Amino acid sequence: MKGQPYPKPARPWVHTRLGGAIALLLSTLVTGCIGTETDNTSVPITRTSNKAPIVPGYESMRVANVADAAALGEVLLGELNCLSCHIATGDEHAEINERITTKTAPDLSGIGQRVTPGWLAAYLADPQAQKPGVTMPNLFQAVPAAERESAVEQLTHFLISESGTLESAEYQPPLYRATVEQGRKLFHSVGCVACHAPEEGDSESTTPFVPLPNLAAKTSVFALTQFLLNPETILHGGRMPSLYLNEEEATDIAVYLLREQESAAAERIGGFEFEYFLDPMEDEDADGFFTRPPPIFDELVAENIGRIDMLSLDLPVRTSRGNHMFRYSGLIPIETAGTYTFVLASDRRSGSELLIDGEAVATKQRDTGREIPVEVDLEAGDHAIEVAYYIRGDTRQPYIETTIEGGKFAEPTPIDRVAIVEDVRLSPTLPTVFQVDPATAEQGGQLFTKVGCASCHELQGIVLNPASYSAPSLETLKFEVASEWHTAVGAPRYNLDESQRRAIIEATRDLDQLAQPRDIATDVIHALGTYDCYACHQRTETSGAAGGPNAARIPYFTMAPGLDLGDEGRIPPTLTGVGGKLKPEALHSVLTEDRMHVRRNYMQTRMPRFSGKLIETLSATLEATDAAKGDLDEPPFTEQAIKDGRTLIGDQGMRCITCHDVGVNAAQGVSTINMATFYGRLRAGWINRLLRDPHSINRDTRMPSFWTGGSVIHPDIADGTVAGQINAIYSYLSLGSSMPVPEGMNVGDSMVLAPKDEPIIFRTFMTDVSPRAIVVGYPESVHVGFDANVMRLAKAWRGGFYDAQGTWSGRAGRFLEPYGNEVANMPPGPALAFLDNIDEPWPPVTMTDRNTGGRFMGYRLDDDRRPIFMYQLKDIVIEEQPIPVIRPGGANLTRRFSLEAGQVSDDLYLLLAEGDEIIENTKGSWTIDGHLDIALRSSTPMTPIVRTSQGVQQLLLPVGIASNQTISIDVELSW
Amino acid sequence: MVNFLSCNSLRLGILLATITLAGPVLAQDPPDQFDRDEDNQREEQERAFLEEMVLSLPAQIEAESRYYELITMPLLDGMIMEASGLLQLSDGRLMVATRRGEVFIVENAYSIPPKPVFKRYAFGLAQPLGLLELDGWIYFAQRGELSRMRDTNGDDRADVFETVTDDWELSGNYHEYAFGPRQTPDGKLWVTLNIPFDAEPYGAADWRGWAARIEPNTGATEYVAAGLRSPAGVEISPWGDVFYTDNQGEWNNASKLSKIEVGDFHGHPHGMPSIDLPGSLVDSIPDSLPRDGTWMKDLQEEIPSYKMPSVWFPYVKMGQSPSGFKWDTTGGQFGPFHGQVFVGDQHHAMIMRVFLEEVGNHWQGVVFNFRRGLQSGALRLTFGTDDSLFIGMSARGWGSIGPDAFGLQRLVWKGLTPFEVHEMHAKPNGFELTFTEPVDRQSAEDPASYRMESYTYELSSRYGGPEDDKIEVNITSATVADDGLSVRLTIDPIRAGYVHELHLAGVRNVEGANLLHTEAYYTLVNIPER
Repeated sequence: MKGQPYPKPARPWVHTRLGGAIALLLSTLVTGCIGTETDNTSVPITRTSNKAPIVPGYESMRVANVADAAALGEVLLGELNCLSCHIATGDEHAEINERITTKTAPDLSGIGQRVTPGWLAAYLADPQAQKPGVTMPNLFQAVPAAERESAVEQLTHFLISESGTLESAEYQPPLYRATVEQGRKLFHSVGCVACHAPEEGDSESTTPFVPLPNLAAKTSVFALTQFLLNPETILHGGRMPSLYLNEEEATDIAVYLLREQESAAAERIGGFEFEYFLDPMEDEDADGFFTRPPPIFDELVAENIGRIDMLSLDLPVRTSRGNHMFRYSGLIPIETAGTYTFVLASDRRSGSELLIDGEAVATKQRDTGREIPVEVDLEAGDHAIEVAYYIRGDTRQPYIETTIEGGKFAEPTPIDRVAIVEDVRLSPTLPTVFQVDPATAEQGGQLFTKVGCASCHELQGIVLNPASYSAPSLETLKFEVASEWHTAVGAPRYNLDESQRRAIIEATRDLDQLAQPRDIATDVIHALGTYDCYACHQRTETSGAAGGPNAARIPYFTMAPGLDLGDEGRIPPTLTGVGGKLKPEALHSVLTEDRMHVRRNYMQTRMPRFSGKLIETLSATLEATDAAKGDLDEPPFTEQAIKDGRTLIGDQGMRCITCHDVGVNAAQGVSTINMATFYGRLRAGWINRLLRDPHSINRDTRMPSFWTGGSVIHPDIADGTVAGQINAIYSYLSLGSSMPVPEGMNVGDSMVLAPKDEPIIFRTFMTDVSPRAIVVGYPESVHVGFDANVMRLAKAWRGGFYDAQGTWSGRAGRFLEPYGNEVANMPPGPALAFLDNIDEPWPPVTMTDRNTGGRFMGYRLDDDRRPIFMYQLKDIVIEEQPIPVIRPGGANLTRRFSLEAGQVSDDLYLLLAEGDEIIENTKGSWTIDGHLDIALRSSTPMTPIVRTSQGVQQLLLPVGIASNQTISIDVELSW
Repeated sequence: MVNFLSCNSLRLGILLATITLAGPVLAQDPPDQFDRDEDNQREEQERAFLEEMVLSLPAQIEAESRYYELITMPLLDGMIMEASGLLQLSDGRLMVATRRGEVFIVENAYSIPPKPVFKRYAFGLAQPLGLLELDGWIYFAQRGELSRMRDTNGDDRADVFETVTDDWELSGNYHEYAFGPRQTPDGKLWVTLNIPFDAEPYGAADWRGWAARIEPNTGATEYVAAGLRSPAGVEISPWGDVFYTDNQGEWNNASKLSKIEVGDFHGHPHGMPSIDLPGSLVDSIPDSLPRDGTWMKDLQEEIPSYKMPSVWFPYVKMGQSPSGFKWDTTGGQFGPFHGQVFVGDQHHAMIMRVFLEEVGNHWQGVVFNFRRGLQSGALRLTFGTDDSLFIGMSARGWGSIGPDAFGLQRLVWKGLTPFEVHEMHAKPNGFELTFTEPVDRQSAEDPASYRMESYTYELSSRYGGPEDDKIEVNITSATVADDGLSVRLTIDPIRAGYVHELHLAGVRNVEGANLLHTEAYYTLVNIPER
């Protein structure tokens, strides 16, 4: 295709869903004011709901009967923010303020950018009417209507004056056909409905759902998406967790939840909606590759969707030059009925298809003639058009074209000049624009503190004066007296039910007691209740069992399509004894971030990320309650044990690889938890218990018992004893990411290189290394990438080795990353260099530099066929050999240098490491940025120096070498 | 079970299917910025040829196989023998390098039926595209280096890999191949270097599109000739000259076999910036040259160092992607063509035959069809100890009409002499043809038994090029020698710088049989004075 057939429109011509904000003209500001245009801007105030505030953890604990009323009341004290106003003032009770972990109310900074003014006003007037079951109290109970409306108006003006208004509809992400359906699936599977009511079907439940307001009136797609991505930025208490949604998923859910909003900004614009698909069978070299039938698009999941003005394949979303597909859909407006001629054309290698009103009218087979003309009779009006394109393999001149002729199109006209899409964007059902009256806003500001908002809510940038709202101290409250329960005119009304009231009474009965630290068992239950871990997880305490999804919610805990693992595959695991299962760091990581969390990919529901004060201590309390019970020391670590363990896990042993992934390699059958993560996460005692009797940990598990009744199936391995074999398996697991691939493991694509009995040396293009990369994979499952462009060991990593696809497939020449993980990157630039003085910067290396660290001379293999790289820098001949070192936690690496000097030998330096912070540990050991340790041994004494050069710290070794001398240096890397 | 490739195994359907998807070949790319009409025209031309080829090819292969039999080497399960380097080792065994970077020693390669034993000598090399045995080392060109390897402990596995030179640059483009080495009588090793095609992630690289000459022990590297495009084969003639094959595309608008001499420029401007670097043995060429769209035949007037090809391979008619080639040095053990050149073609899965003669200080000559129906795209040829011709093949990335993705075959002469044009010599006013057996005088004396046209090519930035300035050539006389073994043709006009395409379907032998191959394509650079 030569250039573009017609000019691009001024607006961005393609936006993908990930594209973020869409810059368009601001629509004219419309003035709006609650007092004058109530019909337009406010939600009709319904009768105040009598529903009690819903505190999900309280409900879970109450149903399970694992806690007494006082413990339940304590949860309520925190979740209803009681202590935000009623502080314990006595010194002897100061600890209560610490012990009760107040949930905190939403941060109101930016509230105006998240909610419509009308909804805000209605909510302020009566929160419980807008969101029955909400924990926010009604601040205006029994206040005369006029007074209430005035207060609400002032507060609304104040809040919006401080925080702006919602983005207009044009800024909202466009609504795509696929979005609503994706959002529906996500909302009902990733975990939203563990707390919130399903949006469809039967929503009866033994415990109430956390209420959602009228979202369509309240907020916008953009604002809701941002909230779903990072709820803790608004809800600091962390009770609403992050589900690790990506922006696309968050948008899908937001669009789904707001699907009843008006498509306010609908306009007709030229172009198409496109979908981009990758071929699920990327087997370019496989038999039958070229003769496979065309794809059925409706059975595929699009990699990306978006808008485009032209029928073009040149889209930034195209990530594959090989097999891929596009589908474009839109409408063609036909003014006069008649016969129209369409011509479909695409490059020779591709297949393409034209559909009008869902009917395939023209099909171009791949490798056949270029242009397919077809005549179609069309009535006047809009007709759906769809153009599909697919290619297998590669072509240098991909194109797709379709023309229309007939009616007002006197000659063949490119279809992209005719096609349109309806540019639908969702807009809240209430107006988003609002005119702030400064005087009213100022009154609202005073009211904000006066009625107590500031006691619970943060509002960035506002100097609050909580003192202007004074509430009685905790000690002075007379809980037993009914009239004390916020019943006065204008007192915040919570709608507590009788059992809630009773629980709070019990909790506050003995404030001296409440000022003591909780005992640890109660503390665990309190924390699990506060975050309602019970919504998903069951845990048995001495006081009984609690939690696990209740019957109404169980259908929404699902497995990935096509899998069958029973309930074990869809219901989140038990928390009974979890503190004795997970190592402390792993447990903390699972609760608060994803680093050491094993995403169970077969399980649709996600373990979310919580935040807040209590979650920070939960891992420690769980450890304290659970860990002592039966934990074991790690068994001794020997090479023989590792070998035996590898045999036991492979297909000559227990065949664990049938169900468990190992590193980057997928299990033979259903892919379940990765064994390479076990050592980092699981305690030795728990692994021992699991192996001996899986059913003691999960009665329903599909994991078999391997030593039933103490019998040993493989008497020739690891002494033939149960203990010996379990210890061997543990030793093997302790290699973590560098567990050598077990026998019988499927190592992925046939082009993935997997060293088994000896190293693999492979020359290739490699990302961040060079086109002269030499990667070496060792059976010890630690690997390196050497850059023969500048002479440096560039990378080391564990687990999977390297995918030769980029070097072997098609015309090849692709730069790929390591196929494994836990990558340690060495400093840029050569390993060795001469410096004139210690302040001279290390030789810089750009992508076009060569031989800055010497001239490459090749490599030779030792008796174990491990390569020794050879290079020469000036008059010094260097041999460098990476040597794997196995140890618990993963194999490490020693770089063994041997330097033979000729005449020139002054001022030679070895760059050991580079980072922001280099710390010297004991003698001869340094830690770089907290994650890479370097230790040093050399044949003659040498002492590295730490220097700061060009903004980074460098660990430099002055290599003292005399003329004609030969020295050796071992650099031990662990990471 | 022996797997002789017979014409039965070339099912029409497979052929049609593969033909339609076959693009250009290793070291050659589909058009990039190609005008649609020309693309269509090219496609039509190709399609017409292919249609005819599809119809007649099985019969032609059948006829060829009466004289030359293909023996397919059975491979082990899972073996990917994308053979890109072939070497007859001095110990009698065969060595094969593959595009994946493996090197195998093949034992028992000559048994009938074939029962080869493969030993993996090396792994993980960067696209080795040639093998040479020298002083106990195996020398080989890989992407970034000329390297050498050896087995020091006798276990048939290399354990030392040394860099002889890595002087040339890589931009990180897939198309940057290095071919060779081949050793000239002065001991130097020659390597040819591909240009990149499309993205150059590590920036513009020096010495792409050059031929390099390397001292095998010191690695001292000189760059002897520029302007190469995709020089997939390099070989030394029996008399010590260096020749190479180049694949058509931009700035090399017809595939060719050319002699390389120190100081040559071969037409492609990509590597011209390197002319002024130390190490270059090519004289500077003004930046304005070569101009886009000059007749190659006239280019020497502007660029004296420009080297005309020895043989053009007209696109589609004589393959689409010439690769490895080999002189017949068997002294008649491989048939009657001793001293001629066999040239592989990847796309057409075929071997062509070239006869060269030196006219006016220029080696030029003629190309004929020789043997079609290989199992995959021919990349490398080498003669074995029994004077059969090993053929290493791969179709990956560019496609081939052969039925397999890769393979290793051996072409064996069956001892029967085909009726063929043996040699074609240029003469002041025409050509002299010699034949492998006496011709039928009546048919050979009839000018109507012959048809000729001539055409030439432009040097331009477009991808490939049409047969340009094409005219019919009159056969004004045909005179048969007394022994019936040669025919002297006079033609009008005779044009220097043009391919003279001769069809001689009417010529019969004394038994009345047709020639095995009835087309000859002579690249007439110089017209001899006598």
